[in-house]
Amino acid sequence: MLPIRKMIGDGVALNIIPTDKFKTNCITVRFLCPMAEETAALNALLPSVLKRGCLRLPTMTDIVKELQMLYRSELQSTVGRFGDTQYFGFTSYPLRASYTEGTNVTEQILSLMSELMNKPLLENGVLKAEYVEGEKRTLADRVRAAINDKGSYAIRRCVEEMGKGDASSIPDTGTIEQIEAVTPEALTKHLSSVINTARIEIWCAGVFDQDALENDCRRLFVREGRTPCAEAEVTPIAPADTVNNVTEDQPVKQGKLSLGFTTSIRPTPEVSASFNLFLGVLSSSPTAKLFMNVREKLSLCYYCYALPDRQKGTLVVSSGIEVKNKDVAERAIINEIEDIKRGKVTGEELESARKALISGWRSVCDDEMAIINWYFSQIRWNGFISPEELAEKCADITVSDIASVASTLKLHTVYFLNGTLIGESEDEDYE
Amino acid sequence: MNKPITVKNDLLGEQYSVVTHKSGLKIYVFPKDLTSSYCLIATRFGSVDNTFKVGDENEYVTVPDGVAHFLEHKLFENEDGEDTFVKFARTGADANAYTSFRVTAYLCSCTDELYPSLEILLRSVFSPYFTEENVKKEQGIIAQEIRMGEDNPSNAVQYGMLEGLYERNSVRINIAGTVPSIMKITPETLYRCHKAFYNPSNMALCVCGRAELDEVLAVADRCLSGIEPIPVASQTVTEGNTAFKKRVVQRMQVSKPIVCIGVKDADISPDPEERVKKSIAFDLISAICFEKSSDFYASLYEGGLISPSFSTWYEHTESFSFFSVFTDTDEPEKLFEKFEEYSQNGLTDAITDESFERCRRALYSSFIKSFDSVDEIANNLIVDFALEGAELFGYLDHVKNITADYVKDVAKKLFVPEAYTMSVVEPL
Repeated sequence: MLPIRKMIGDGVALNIIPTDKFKTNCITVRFLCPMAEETAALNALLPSVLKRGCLRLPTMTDIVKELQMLYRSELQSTVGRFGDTQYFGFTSYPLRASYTEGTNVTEQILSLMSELMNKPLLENGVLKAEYVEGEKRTLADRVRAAINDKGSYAIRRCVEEMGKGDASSIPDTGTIEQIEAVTPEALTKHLSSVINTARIEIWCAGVFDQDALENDCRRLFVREGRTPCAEAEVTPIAPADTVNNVTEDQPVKQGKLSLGFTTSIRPTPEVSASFNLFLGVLSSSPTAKLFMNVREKLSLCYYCYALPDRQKGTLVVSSGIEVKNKDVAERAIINEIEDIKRGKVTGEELESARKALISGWRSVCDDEMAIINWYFSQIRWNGFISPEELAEKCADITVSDIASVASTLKLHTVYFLNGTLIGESEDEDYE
Repeated sequence: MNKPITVKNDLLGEQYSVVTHKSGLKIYVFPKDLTSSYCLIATRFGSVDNTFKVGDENEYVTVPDGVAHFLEHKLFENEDGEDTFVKFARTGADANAYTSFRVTAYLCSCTDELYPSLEILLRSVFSPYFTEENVKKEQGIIAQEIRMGEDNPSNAVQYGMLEGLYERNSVRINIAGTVPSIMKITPETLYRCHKAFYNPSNMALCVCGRAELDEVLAVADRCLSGIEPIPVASQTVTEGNTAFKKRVVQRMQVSKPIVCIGVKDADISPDPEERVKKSIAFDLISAICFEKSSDFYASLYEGGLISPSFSTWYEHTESFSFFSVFTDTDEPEKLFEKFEEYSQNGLTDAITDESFERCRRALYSSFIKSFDSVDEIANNLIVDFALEGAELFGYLDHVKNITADYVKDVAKKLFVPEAYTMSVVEPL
């Protein structure tokens, strides 16, 4: 089930993954640009402003009503990052024709995605000011609300600290100041620039008449004379000379600890299997060291897991703990990594991680979006590798391979969100 | 054991078999040709079941809050000292569990070794092993889970809404309990709850994927011998539809106020299929009157009174029923006024033949899409339908036969101002 990838225009790639296992198709169109301070907020705002209305369907209500008539193939807008590339786009899951009395909902949804980009609602030649201002306010509110979710806040703060001065420290949304500075004129200009220069990735998984789909995509997304931008080179985060310790107080009950490591491992097909198996042993398998030891044996936390950014070469281990246990938890997490470095991995730990990894990879094929994301992450590779092929590469990996991966990890930043609401009456019961 | 029944749906092109095992366990096998298979076993034991009697006991006994969730954490520990996750690791299965207001569910998914994985699942769920030491260890872990929830403003505002609606119904209590309440849990409490609620006759199992009924039954025979059915009765608390409190206000570190407006509903049919039908009416009210295609949403959004986080949350079950809307807003009281005004004037007018048809299509489409995932199939089949006494495919008939007038009627009875509460989390 490898994707059929074809450049159908300058910088426009169509990727078709034929599969008849699902009752819906999945289509996603992504516009890729280099991550940059000047454009982060513009890219983050564009899809939500465009979804407020287009020339033919001038209000959000009109768009949603049309989608509902198309069996609510809901149109999700996404903003994401991939190394030092930022992308935004639209995703939908149109029902296959056998459930829609023969209507080709897929073609109509693709057409709507193109319409939002290419036939926007303009007033005096620029995107409607009311929509731009409304979405600026909403996005700025969302940035402010990031503090509400302490777990992801603590991870993001750690990543920001690790990437000071680097593209990775630029928030996906841009900063509040950058958002507030956006004008309808600037956003309209940026839209034209995206249409002319973004690299466009169209991904379709499901059942299609492939020739018709290709023709539709050419008609809807390919413009003559495009000048697509170059791919953004990824700069990995360099190791730190001394560990950067950052503590912030907040009036919450639980402390959040984020340990940020760098690794010299780069995402290539060759090392992908051993890096993922290392992650399994440390964090993501059912018998992972962080789960079995830091949570189950030491009873220090409810969650403790490692989050890698393969492109940037970082790994953040995140946990929610009693504030007084900060040093114990930090040592416990580092000990687990040190143990792997020394090859202290049991046969059972390795085999269980291997089984879990292979099983997880094989089940990627049970979810259309997971299949698309699997291959999307490989667009810089020379050809695609299926989950089954990568699973085969797992068979020969040994403890010493895993230990070599662990040896590349260097602690860079310790971020601690220090909860100050301690000492309430219920804590006495807990002691 | 009775004879297996096959239930089919031609439109979906799907079918499943159901049989009651001699232990009393209802077993559903849903064939699906995907790479992974999924097993889910669930019991009618949720956080609301905190007062109950077992067998021929005369008195109801109340257990500490959070015990269903605590028990869920403990069942993956075994007398042989080997964690169930370690056992699953050998078959490559990915396992998990969750507790809701109404049920506790245990699940695993795997690409190979389906029947050995199912056997591990069943043996874990039916072999409790609790000691002073392993209960104490879990108290530390769950205390951190509770703390995490307490620091989450969305959780806080939603529980606040339920505290506002209900005076005595235990749906007002946090599913995980509180740090002091879980400290009162002992091995004896857990054994008593297990004996009461983990009887196969109070449970249902679904295996969805590359599964054969005979093989599933063979595993059930091996794991479920010698368990006699035992009746359990949870105390149910009925309350009228008047909200207990008009306002519940908490203060936390948030960027702007978060609100949840709740509407209490006391009109609950004893007939499970009627409840499915009314749940569909709630789905349609949500889609037609509150979601993005509604004029109400558009006017509030354009007026800056709500954010894209605006959403609805509703449940219609045998033991409680409510409808709520959630958002962050700078002006909670103004939003409440708008909600109250709309609910009395305009809400039912929004339910036209055109809006009804549009939203019914969307509902139909979501239901069809759910059959693309073994996980959604098993969870819907067991948790939303079988344990509630309803039949999965019957949903499509309800969606087909429901009328706009019925939905209007449900809305008229639901939205009465005495049933409203507003929960607010204010910034510090």
